[in-house]
Amino acid sequence: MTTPPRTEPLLAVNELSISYGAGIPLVQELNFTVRRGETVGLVGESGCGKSLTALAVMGLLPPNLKTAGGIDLGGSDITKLDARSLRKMRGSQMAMIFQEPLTALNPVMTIGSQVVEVLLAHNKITKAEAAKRTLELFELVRIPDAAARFNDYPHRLSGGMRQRVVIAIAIACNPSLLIADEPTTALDVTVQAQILRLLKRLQRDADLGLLLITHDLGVVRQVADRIVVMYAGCVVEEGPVDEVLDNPRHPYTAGLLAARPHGSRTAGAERLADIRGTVPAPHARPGGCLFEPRCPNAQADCRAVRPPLSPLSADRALRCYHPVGGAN
Amino acid sequence: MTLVLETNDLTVHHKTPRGPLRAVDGISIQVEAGETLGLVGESGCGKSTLARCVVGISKPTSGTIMLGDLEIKDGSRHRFQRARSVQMVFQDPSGALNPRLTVERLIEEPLKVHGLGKKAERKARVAELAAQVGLSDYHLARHPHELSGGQRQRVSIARALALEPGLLVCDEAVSALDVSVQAQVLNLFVDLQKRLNVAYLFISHDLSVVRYISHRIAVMYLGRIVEVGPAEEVWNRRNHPYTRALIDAIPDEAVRRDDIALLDGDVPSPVNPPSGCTFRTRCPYARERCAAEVPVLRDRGNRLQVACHFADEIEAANTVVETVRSGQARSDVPAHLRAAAH
Repeated sequence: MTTPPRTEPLLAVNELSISYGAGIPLVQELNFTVRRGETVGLVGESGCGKSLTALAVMGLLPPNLKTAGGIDLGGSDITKLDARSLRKMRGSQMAMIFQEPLTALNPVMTIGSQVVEVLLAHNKITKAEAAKRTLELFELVRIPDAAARFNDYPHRLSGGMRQRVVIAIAIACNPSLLIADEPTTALDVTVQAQILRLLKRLQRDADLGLLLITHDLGVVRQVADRIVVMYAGCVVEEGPVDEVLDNPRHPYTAGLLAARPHGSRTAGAERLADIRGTVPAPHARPGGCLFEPRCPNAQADCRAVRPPLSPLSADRALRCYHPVGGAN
Repeated sequence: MTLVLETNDLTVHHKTPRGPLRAVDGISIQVEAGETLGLVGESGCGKSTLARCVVGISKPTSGTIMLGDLEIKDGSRHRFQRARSVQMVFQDPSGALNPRLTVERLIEEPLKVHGLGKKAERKARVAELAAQVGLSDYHLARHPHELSGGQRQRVSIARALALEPGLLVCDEAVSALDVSVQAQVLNLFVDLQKRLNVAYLFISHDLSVVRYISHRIAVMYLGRIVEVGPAEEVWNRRNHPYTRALIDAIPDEAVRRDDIALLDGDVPSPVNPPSGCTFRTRCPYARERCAAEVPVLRDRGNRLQVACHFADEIEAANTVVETVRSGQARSDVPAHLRAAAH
């Protein structure tokens, strides 16, 4: 693959829609880009379509889901590729880290042979060379005493170590795009901090594009450069992570930030600002603004026509008629 | 002061081929009526085992449990009395609720089992419980699969409150919920406590949640309590190095802190724990004394208790951290403490 110049996006998702059955929309009009060396945080609550988006980029959507629009990775449109070319791209150009390392790893193969398998599938090298490269990868992801661990089975490892093995497999064939779907949600905070720091270092060293999918705004703040906030299958707000989280304009982003517990109620912390109601099911989404039924700023025009995602500045966009802090 | 829960030197040891696994290793805690005690620690530290002992799902190896005036000696003998003193709210409400019963029958079940009231009285009580947790008549006729995760957790809470227990054990009760719904359920817990004076033993891996809801916090590591005290004392003073490491590891909303030292490695095996202080293998302050002598909980003032030989030094170092962070480098600080601040 030819390396695109820095200004060109590595991954460009254009007007992506994913629907189920007789046109029940799951993801609608999704647009975002990831550049080399950039971390984009895709955030939202369960059912907002963030994991479906990740699977679509990997070309792993189940066949009963229909897609429209394009996903451009390094010059080829993933939605148009056949299974064979997709399989070639997975691993060597894009790779994915899943939430639960125990189910992502094969329980009856040693961790070493699982990495060797990936290396042999994508490269013309000998087994001995693959084993040598595997040890290098284990050292790269800081698995202590890598040579001794090579023949261990996944159940012998802690959750954090298993996730390191999954990361080693993901970066084994030098992909340019790494997708991490809730990579630390199943881990303790202390281990989460180690894994996030590792991901960040690997990304810097290899100039990777990283698409980080999470529900945790704290994790996004710590790791991402840009943030894309999704609600009920649509992007509602996007921009540089500090700008969006310090000065959220969409009432949903603001609501998510306010709903996080902060302080102690023994020391006078106030009642948590919850967002009333729940996320609408895909078949029952409102025709106007998707967030309108739960929104404190909702007015008549929100119910009539769904607001478009419109640019707020050079690198910020917003889908709202009545944003926090008044209209522009 | 009325205690709704008091455990005394509680231990739970499981037999394994490699020797006893000390899941809970000598825990003494107290919970007052109307109080929330938060319990935090990494997975495998024994917090869920402790919770299961309190409600009677697991049997302690030794030690005593007092639920108000009721002393639990034999796990099965006091089942009915126990059920009216303590109830549990689980992490996953879809696993905790029978999928074939309607919400109304789910909430009514404990009343029926305990033979409380006639049919009409039970119906009225169910409606009252449902209203208390924010469910309407519409929800009473539904089955669990027709409800959202937050609504299901409300059903679990209503069911747990049916017998008016003095204590609810909440094991990761809001962890499976999205943040906007989590806020709703946390607010509900606070409201119910104000109205019913119910106490919570609130277990969570999320320190921000525990800090928000708890009056007091207990920090567990490898089956033992290493620090316990009023929520803000624990949070702000961070006298135990483990507490400090836990709080430092929270993805910070305000700053990216690449400079903070993270805990290395994982929790050691509870089958073969380190001698002396069990945290010493991961502790930046560990010295010879830590391997030789088990630290006990000592008073640190303002009702804070910490089990660490070097709590004085760590408190001093934390003060330095704050000073260094606020940009006033101090030359009168000893070099090893300054190093510890980074």
